[in-house]
Amino acid sequence: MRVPDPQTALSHRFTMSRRSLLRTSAVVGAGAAMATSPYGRAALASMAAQKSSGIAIFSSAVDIPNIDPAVGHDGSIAMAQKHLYDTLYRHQGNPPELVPWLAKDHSVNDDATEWTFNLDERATFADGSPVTAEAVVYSLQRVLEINRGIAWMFADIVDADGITAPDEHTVKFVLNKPYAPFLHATAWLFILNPAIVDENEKDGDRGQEWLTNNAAGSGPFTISRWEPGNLYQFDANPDYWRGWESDYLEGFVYQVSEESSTKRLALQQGDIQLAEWLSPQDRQLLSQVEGVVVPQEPSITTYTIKLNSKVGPTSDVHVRRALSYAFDYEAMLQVMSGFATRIAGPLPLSITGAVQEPAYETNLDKAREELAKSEEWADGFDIEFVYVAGLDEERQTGQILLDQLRELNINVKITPMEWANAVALFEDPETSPAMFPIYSGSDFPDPDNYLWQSFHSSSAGTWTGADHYVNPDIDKLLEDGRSNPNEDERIAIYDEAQTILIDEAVELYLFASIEGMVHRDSVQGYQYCPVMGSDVSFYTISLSE
Amino acid sequence: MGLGRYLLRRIVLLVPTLLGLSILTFVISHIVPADPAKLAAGPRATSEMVESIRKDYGLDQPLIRQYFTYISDLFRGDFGTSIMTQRSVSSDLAARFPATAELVLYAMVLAIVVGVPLGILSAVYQNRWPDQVIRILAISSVSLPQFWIGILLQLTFASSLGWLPLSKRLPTLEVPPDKITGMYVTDSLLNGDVHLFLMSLKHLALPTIVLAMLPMAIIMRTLRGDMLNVMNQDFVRVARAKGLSEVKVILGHAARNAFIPSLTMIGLSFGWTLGGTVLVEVIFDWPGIGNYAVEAAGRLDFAPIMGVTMLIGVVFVVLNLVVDILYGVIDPRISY
Repeated sequence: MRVPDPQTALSHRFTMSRRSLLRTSAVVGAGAAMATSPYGRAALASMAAQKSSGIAIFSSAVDIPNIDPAVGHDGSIAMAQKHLYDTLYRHQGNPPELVPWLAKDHSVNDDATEWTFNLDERATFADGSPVTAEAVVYSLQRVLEINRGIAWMFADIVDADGITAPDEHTVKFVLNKPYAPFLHATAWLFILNPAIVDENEKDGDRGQEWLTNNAAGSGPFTISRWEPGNLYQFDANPDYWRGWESDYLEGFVYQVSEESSTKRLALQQGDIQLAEWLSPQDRQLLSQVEGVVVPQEPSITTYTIKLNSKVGPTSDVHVRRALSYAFDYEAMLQVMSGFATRIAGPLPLSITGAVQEPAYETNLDKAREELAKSEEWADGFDIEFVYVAGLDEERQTGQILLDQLRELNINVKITPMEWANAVALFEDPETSPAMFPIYSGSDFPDPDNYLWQSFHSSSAGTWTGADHYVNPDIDKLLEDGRSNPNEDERIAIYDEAQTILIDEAVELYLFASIEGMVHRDSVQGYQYCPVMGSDVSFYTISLSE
Repeated sequence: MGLGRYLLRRIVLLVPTLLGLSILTFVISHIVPADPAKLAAGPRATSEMVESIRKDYGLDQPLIRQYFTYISDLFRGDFGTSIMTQRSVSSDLAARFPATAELVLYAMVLAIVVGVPLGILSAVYQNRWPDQVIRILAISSVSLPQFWIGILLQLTFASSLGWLPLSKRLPTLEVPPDKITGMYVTDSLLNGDVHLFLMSLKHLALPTIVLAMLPMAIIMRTLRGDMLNVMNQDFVRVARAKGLSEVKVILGHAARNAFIPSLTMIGLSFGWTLGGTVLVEVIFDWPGIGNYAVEAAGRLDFAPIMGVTMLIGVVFVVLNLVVDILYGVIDPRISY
């Protein structure tokens, strides 16, 4: 849903009002202006409580349905999990780096099949009991047994008996086959307290029902309030085993707020301290508001248009290249109000080994030349662009195509569709849309994570593999890249793969979004990390006076 | 037929009505081509993972068996489990329905309290300036998009004037009243907490106004039309001829007789409003069932979709029954 134009004008006016300025300068949303109205007086007590308690309020559009580390897996769930649980390694910073967390260090054999981790002896769960190697074994075996959520990261590469605990603080993984990005995968293995889980097991469910909205972790925060669909409150664990570096939050509240304009207004008047899922237009408006910080961090979320490479005009490489030349990339960046960076290929620019220079620039003459090479489609054709109903930038992507392709005698039909129905269409190349725009996030910043899910033939038919692209050369390269532990050789392998994927114009490679949590300037210590669920860490955040 | 027998007959008739509704919703939500197990498993899931989810939720069973399992669970008060959240739909509905019910209840009270007098006024001043002003108000209420009005009210009363809160049922850090009905205004009153009572009323104000606009317009226009019909009838002329005051003629005679069709509209509006809270809930971060249903529909999560539909269906038919009973209260000529 988008904000109507009149609001923009009004908000500018309101932004400049004395009341708003007062409110903007107040700490944690409590403003002298609010005390001048009956609501202001009533609210002031509550706002003052926020200030003294140091609780940050964070609004997001997405609910947190299930935080069981073996079941739930998406951005909002991951955010919660990463505050409640620890992992052996974790991603930090931008570009993201892996840093040891529960593990002090690790060693790996030459063919990347045996990984040994030494645990930090200081680590304790929230109840004070030690985090042991047995707990790591327990946690991964539970993931494999339940076989949901993150299980796909481990199921093919390690068996339940492949993970052992040689001693209390050493854990060893013996993989079925070499897997170079394994260290990244360990940043998703949340370690549970076996005693707590077993205590809450019901009818042999391995604690699933209980862990849906309770935690048994060693993370810096614990749950204090859980109102599904509304808000979730997390309290800092003052005894967190890694300690706290500076003034730290007493806690934070994750509240569900779907509408972008509501979050913008709440940030403006200081009702909340952080927000995500704001429209590019609202981010731009907020960048002009005093007291609000709009970070502009390059993300690793790409936006591309999937092209059906099996059926219809887009099965012809010349048509795909013609589309790549015809697309107006500049117009696309304008649609994103500047919160996007052009990408050259399937990888975001910050990923090691990503191709940096675009091979296709908008050039209708070259597009015509390419189209003329097509035996079947040179005279033009009708083509369907399907997008997820309600996503305005996707609709506008379709309009850019409609406008540009008209010059090539290609008629674009723009069709909005519910996500669930679109996913069903992807299963079969006969029903898969000719063009479908898609955002692809990443569980870890490794080329394997992007390229396998989209271009390996085993992914065809999933929504990330909606291209239905099958190329044995690409399969071979991706398999080599995944199993080769040598970093330089991997870069060369993925460079070759990208060259093919760009030359064959498998997708229209458009942009990586510019992100970062919009926040009040009272928020100190904010660090962005573009890995899913890591874009805000309240562990490093405090609120200034 | 006495009222008791009439009630009994109507309650018995509820069963086939709700069964029909359940079949219709079940079929519609299951004929779409999407695969909820695949959606829940995510794009990287192996086929074994998808199959195991399908089995866990009985999606591998024939449709007819899935329906009978659903219905037999429903008779035990079990609305099933959400495939996405793995939470019980019954507990989700119990948490969310009171929020929507509170919103709709106050919106309807507001719609009636404002709509009825304005409808009468509009008829009494037919084609004069009060009628014209009320007409403009009604047309605006029907035609202006809810989200636009909602955002405009937020900008004016929350952002600019600071009189009312922007969104939510209570300030984020405020602990809700002990649950009795789940409706914060009522519960805070029953708990004797004046602060929370005032807080929840203030949070209710803006979404209630937005939600009330459509039923208010319907009530105004329906009542105006019916009043005009009634006011030309002989019994009104007789009342005036008897020398009754104009207020007594209009309120005591005309309005009472004109109210029956409006009552039907109020009953129906109640149901429509209950089913149409989504936009208001989204704009005002109101954690109700409208939002819940839309999220579930987007993920093709059958159990919540069915749960919300059945719940709204039950409320709708019960409201119709209440309206039918009220006919007899308003018009003594109607008996059962």
